[in-house]
Amino acid sequence: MSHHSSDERLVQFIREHHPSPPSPKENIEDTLIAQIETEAQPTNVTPFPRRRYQGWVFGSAIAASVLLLFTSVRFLQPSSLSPQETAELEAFLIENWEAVTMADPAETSWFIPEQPKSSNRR
Amino acid sequence: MLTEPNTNLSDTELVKCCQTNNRAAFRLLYRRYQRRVRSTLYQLCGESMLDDLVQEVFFRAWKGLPKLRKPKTFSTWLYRICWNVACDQRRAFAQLREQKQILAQQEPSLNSADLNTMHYQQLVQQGLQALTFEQRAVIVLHDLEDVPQKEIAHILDIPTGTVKSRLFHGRKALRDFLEKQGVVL
Repeated sequence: MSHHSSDERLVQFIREHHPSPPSPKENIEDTLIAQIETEAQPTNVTPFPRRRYQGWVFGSAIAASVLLLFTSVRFLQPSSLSPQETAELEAFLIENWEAVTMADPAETSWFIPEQPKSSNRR
Repeated sequence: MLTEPNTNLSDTELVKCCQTNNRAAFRLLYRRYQRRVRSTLYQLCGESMLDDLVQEVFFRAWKGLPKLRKPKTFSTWLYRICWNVACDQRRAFAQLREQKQILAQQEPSLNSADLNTMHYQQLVQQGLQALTFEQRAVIVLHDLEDVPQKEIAHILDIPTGTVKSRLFHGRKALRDFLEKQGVVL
């Protein structure tokens, strides 16, 4: 006797002989509907469940943050100079450098405080 | 407002109607499922307060319907509510069940002289009551209500392997009980 067939016979037996529940009260359906109408008020049913709403909010927030980060990185990056700008910059640097290294000392004489001419008075 | 000719609507359609506060649709769902809910609760909890328990299941279902995001899983979801209601009542019925078990143990000895006179229905009922609550739930859902093992796992929130195990041990205990009473399977 296989275990499977034994199971089948058991299931068949309990299906045939399982006790049926007693009949419900006649008015149970109406009582239930009345209870629903008086106590349960699922009128706050939203076609947009809260959980989904939260997901939408978080998703949008994350997307906005990523977009902001991307654009800020783009704008903060130093843009490359055009050949003309490079040439101008180079010329400025050379001119500036020459002005510093080859400057006339007289031009900076104003920087040295003047000595009082006391000896001439004597 | 739904009328009787619309009873061929699917569960999904009815659930969606209920989610727009359509009580008539819920009445149709009640009519469609009340026998199964009633039978399951009866096997799990017995006759006492059966009407109240059935009502509680459908009341909870109505209140919870707005949160049901997959209407096609309505039947599984309803069985789950059924299981929760049965569990909630378990403690209250524990004492009553113990009394029934005592009676179940005494009765065979009273009737052992003439096993043929024993009613098979009574035997099955006693056999089911003799199982653990968890084993009984699996036997009732699987063997009496034809719910697939995977769905039972979902309803009871246990792994499928546990469903198989409870089914195996529950059937064995039930078979042993019935054979002890002289039933040849």
